[in-house]
Amino acid sequence: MRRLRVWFMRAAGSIHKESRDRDLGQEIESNLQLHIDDNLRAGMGAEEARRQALIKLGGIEATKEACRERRGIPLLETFAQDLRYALRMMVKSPGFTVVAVLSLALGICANTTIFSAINTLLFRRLPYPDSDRLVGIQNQSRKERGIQLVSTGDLVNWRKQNTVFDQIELINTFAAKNVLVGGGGSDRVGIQYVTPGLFRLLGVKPILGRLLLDEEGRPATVGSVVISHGYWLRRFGGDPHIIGKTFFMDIGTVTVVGVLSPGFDLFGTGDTDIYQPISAEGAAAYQLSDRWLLAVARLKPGVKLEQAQSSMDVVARRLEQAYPDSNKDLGIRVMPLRDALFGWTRQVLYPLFAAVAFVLLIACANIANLMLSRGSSRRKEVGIRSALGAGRFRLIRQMLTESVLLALLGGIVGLGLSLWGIKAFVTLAPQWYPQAREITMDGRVLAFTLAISILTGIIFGLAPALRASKIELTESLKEGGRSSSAGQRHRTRSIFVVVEVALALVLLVSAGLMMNTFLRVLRASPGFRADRVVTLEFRLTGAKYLDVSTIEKTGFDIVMPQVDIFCRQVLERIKALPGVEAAALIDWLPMSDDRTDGPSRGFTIAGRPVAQGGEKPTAFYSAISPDYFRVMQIPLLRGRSSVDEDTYATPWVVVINEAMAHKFWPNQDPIGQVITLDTVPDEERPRQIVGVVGNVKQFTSAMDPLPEFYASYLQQPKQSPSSFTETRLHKSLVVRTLFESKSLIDNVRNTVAEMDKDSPVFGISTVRDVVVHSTTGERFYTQLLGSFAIVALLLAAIGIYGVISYSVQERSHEIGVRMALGGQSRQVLQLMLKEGLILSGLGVAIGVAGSFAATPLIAAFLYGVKAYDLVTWSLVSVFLMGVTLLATYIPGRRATQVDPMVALRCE
Amino acid sequence: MGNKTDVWQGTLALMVLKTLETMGALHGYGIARRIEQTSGGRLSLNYGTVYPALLKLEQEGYIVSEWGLSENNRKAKYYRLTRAGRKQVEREAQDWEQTTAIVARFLSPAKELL
Repeated sequence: MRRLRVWFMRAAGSIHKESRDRDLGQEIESNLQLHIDDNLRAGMGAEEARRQALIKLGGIEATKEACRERRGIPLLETFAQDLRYALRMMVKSPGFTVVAVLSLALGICANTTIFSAINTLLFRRLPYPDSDRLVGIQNQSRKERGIQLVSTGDLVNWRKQNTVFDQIELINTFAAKNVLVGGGGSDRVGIQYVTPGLFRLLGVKPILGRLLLDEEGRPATVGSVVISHGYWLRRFGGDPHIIGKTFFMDIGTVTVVGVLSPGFDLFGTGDTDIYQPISAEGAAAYQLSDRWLLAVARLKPGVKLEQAQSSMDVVARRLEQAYPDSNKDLGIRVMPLRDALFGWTRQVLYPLFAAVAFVLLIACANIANLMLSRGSSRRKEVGIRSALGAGRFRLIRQMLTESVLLALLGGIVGLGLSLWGIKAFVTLAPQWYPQAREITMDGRVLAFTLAISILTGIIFGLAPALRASKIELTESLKEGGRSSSAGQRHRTRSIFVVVEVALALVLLVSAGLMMNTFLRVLRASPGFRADRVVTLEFRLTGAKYLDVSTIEKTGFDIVMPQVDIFCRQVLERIKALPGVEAAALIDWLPMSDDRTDGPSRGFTIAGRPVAQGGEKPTAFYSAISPDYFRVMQIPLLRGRSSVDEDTYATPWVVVINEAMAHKFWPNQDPIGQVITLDTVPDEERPRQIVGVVGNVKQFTSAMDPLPEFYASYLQQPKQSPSSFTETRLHKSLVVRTLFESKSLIDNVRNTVAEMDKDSPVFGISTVRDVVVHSTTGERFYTQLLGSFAIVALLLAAIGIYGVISYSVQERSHEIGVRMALGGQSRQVLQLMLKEGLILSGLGVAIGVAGSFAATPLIAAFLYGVKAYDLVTWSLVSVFLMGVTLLATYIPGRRATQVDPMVALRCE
Repeated sequence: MGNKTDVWQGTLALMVLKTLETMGALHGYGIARRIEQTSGGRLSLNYGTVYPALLKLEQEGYIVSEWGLSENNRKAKYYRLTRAGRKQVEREAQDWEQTTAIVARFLSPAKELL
């Protein structure tokens, strides 16, 4: 209580300081008079009486100071004092302030931007109720540690056997493409397949209509779907009467039963229009190995993640024994839902975070240097302060106040800049980047920015403060004194420059490797010739192409003969257009985004034992029309290609790529070998390998080609498992033209579009554009790392420039003497260049060592260059040395222009 | 050290309080002089040191101050004890006696043992 009162009084004492000071002065003065009166009475002379009284009183100022300290809260008050002083200093040297604040702002802006991106995906709570109890469950191979998705069969088993989850639901991990027909048009849509309980699990509400019901997930029900808010606005203009309207999809008629509330987008890619229920019931054994979904679950209250994991470990062992065919060596991974959805982005974002941290550190080193050089001009000020009794701690505190204030200013400006930075990030981000539009600043970002601002203030302020406060009084107060600590200070500054150059080199090496990768990806041969090839996609839609009535009984859809007829007609009509050299079809054009079925098909090789589970051979599989290799100019290496004479009735054949030949027949001639696909066991026929073609890259030029095999579109089973149906109905048309012309492209488009109004035509482009589009990931990374590296380079150059010009200024006396004694200006320049060369050389050497540790971080994004690519490394090092030497040369030249008379006189 | 002793801070507060208890309201100079007198000239203090001590006691609420006139008609700031101050004198005096008694035992242990 008493203590509280004291602090209250002290706080009150901080205000009305002047009047209290005056009061104390009067009190001391009056008491002094009383004392003098007494002394006079004791018979002293007036002079002596006063002198004695003063001696007895002791130092008046010290007394007053002691009272002052007692009266207020000294820490707070001196802080206010420091702050005022710091502001005054900043205003006094606006040039320094602007440079420091701007370079800090750049660094902090980069950090805030990248942290905002990380925060959005990896730290922010998922926007679902009780989100800390939401987990993702996936399969994980015990051997390869690779994550595998989940089948409906898994779901049935898990629901039955687990004791730790309230609810488990499924959703596929990307929006599958399909077509919605009706309401005056046919429309390419993104579909997510969900078990009906998913919305309940995530607490998602409809804004119109209702959610899916559990019984709508059962096989025999009519198709009810819910649509996303965005699609409702875009396609139906927010029609309030949408509920109950029916449309046509492959599965038959679908009815819109609900519109979801805005903002629900589990994977954050913004491309889901329709949610269609899938069934987990009656999952047959084959569905156990059909793993294409993500399991989302809610932990029972009070159950920890680790408990759930160990409980599911037991379940996994049990399932392994019960279903050796499909579950051998298969573990179950339980992870926070956020990690399951976005954990993979760490690989992308953390290297960027490291890069921006480097930029900020370089900025810190720069400002520390600026402050050090200012420190020497403030030597006298510090000397006077410490002569008047300022303690070392007090001096350091005052200087740290200055630097933290500077950093906070930088932080504020940086925060403003990062509003723009985030916009740039969103613009640069490739299409697949999740939740790009959700990147915003929130409390955590602000706290982060505040924290790094204060931290940077301390980092760059500490060394100069320590150095400046360690002062020899007599030295510093001497007029024009050449301090012996100048050499030491210069050494500290040199160390900072070395650190800057080293950090900049690490960034430049990383950016250089990325740039190299990007250029190589652009130049890399995709395996086909992309010039003069026009492409478009169409998707056959309607009952005349697909019969879904048998799916319940057999598990397969039936692809109608009309598909083949349509394809043949398309080819005929396109080939008849003027300017067309050749035309062909393939399920999915390589490097296009939308391939939605599993990447590969399993098969067995005749004459080899049938492999189990994960060891089963798989490869990419594409149905093509015979001219495909000719249109794309993919070289036929051996044997023959598929030809017009290969039809459903003749023996089925396949053409494989080099990678497949190499993988499965390494020391053997694959021609004549026979394989059988697993997809439709009762209809599939053994296929003989008749040819080997060159490799084509399936995803981007940056990924090595995978094994792939091709068969004629005419040699396909009539039946199709529903997960492959989209592939059967979707075709990419490729047209090799004699010349590039807009009207030809329109002609091709119109020809196809006119053939069937219900089957949408889209994705009209040139194959070259598709290839370029596939490099957006590399471009994104190159642009970001590149811009960080440029900022780092600039800052480092400014840093070395500053040190050398300061060195020139400090040594102008020495230089003057040298010149006066007949020294050549060339020699003086050499002297300066040597200093710069030593600094940057040291920095580069350390930076090279640092790069060895850093570049493996981005190794996964590199293509065609090793992380330790000698050419990139040496080019970047030489470049950096060049820039630093230029930064040395400019102030170095100034040294040669020193007038010896002026230099000597200024002493 | 000579035969005049310096005053250390903790005891100064007690001396100030005790002085005010015996003398009633008094100004800073008077308090300092009185302390020296009471010590029989064995204590010597810079009169300046009483002011921070007085300020502390005032903040703690043991004393209050007001401006008044001295016996020879000079304006001076007078301090007097509050009720809390009187209690504090008692408490501190007791503590002090206890402490000195204990210390005394340590300084002449032989006698106690006999």
